[in-house]
Amino acid sequence: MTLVLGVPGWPGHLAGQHVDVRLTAADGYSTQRSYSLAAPDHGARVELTVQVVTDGEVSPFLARDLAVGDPVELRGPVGGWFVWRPGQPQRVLLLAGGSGVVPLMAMVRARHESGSAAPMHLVYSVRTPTDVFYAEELRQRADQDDGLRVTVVHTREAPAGAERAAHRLDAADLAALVWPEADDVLTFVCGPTAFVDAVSDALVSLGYDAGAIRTERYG
Amino acid sequence: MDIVTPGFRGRARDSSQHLPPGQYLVHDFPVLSAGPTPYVDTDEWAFTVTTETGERRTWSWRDLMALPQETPTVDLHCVTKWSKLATTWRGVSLDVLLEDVESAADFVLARSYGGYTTNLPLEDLLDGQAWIVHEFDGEPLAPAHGGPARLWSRTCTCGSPPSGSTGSTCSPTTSRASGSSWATTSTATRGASSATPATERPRWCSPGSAGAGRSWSPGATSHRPR
Repeated sequence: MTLVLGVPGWPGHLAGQHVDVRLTAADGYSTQRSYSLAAPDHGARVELTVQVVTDGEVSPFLARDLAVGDPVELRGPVGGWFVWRPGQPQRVLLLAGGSGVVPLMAMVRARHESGSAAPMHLVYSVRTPTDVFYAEELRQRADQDDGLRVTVVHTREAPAGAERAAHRLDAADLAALVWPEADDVLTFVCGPTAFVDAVSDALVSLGYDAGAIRTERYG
Repeated sequence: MDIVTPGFRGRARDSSQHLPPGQYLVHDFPVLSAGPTPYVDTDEWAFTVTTETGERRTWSWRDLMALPQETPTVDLHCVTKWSKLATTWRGVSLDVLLEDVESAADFVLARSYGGYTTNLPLEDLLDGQAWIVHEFDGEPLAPAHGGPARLWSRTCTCGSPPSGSTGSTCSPTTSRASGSSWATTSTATRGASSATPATERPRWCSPGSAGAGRSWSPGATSHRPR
């Protein structure tokens, strides 16, 4: 679910950053959660993609109950490490597990909007073909944007006719997919902890510099 | 004044009566870090304290194990809103490690394997408030959680991480959300390898990461939920 918020005076943000959303009930109770910004800076229009956690306290409310015009509190942008700036010339390797694609999508979009020529490869791991966020837009970007490559891999159910049987992304997959030269590649890994651990350990084993791998874990 | 979001009630409070307002209970153990997990062999592991005069003291793993061990049990209330109750740790108090260290510093720069650093007041490390821990719930501390050993402090510290790692920041401007009477434990520092008393006043929240300068925007309104 993508939520578009109007935030007068928004100071701008970088692809990869997130915000804290705070909800307060009439009785004064309040809670907050962090959500990644799904799009590059578009002034006062701030876009969040929220994965609904069925028994969650905040995400089901945002997805089902929040009405157009309702106020929420927002704090951000947050994060100075897990960010990509369109001026950076290095190759960019993006590895997404599930909803971890959101901040990486902001980077794909920022690359498109800025006309950056930095080679970028998004490897996106999903359970089944129907779990792909931004599927149509990703197809379009991959078709139209020179230097952008998008690879979707499946962990539970591969599409009919797929060469790769469904399984979790492993070192052998990565060896075949990613740039072999590990120098000078900006690497961003985002997803559930098990995904981030497996992928970043595999990259280190392939010779990627641990200090150049930036990770963001969900839970 | 808080902005009330119409229709938001939050979870039934009675199921979370042991939690500070706005926190949710986890039974797993979230991992918060900015990069790949460092795997450090205990044969190579060392903990070093360097003072402002350059004096160094180093403990090997064997040295650490030979020191008096304590087993603090605490509730964790992370700034990212998860809470984990009654966690038990085992390790060596910083009071023991810093006992013979001469320093006039007010602040400490803690540096971990993997390059992560954080700043905190020296007073937050003393008087039974911080340990180098190496066991969690009776098991050796896992690398993902900072194993083989990590710095562990009871105090709410506003460490500024080099990352967007959401768990490692603590913003004074948001303390209201969790109730100011509740201590928030930073779990950001992992695998502490050295603690360097710094003489300069540290920068708590750097621009670009979560910081005191970022205030809540009350005017955000939903345009188009779908």
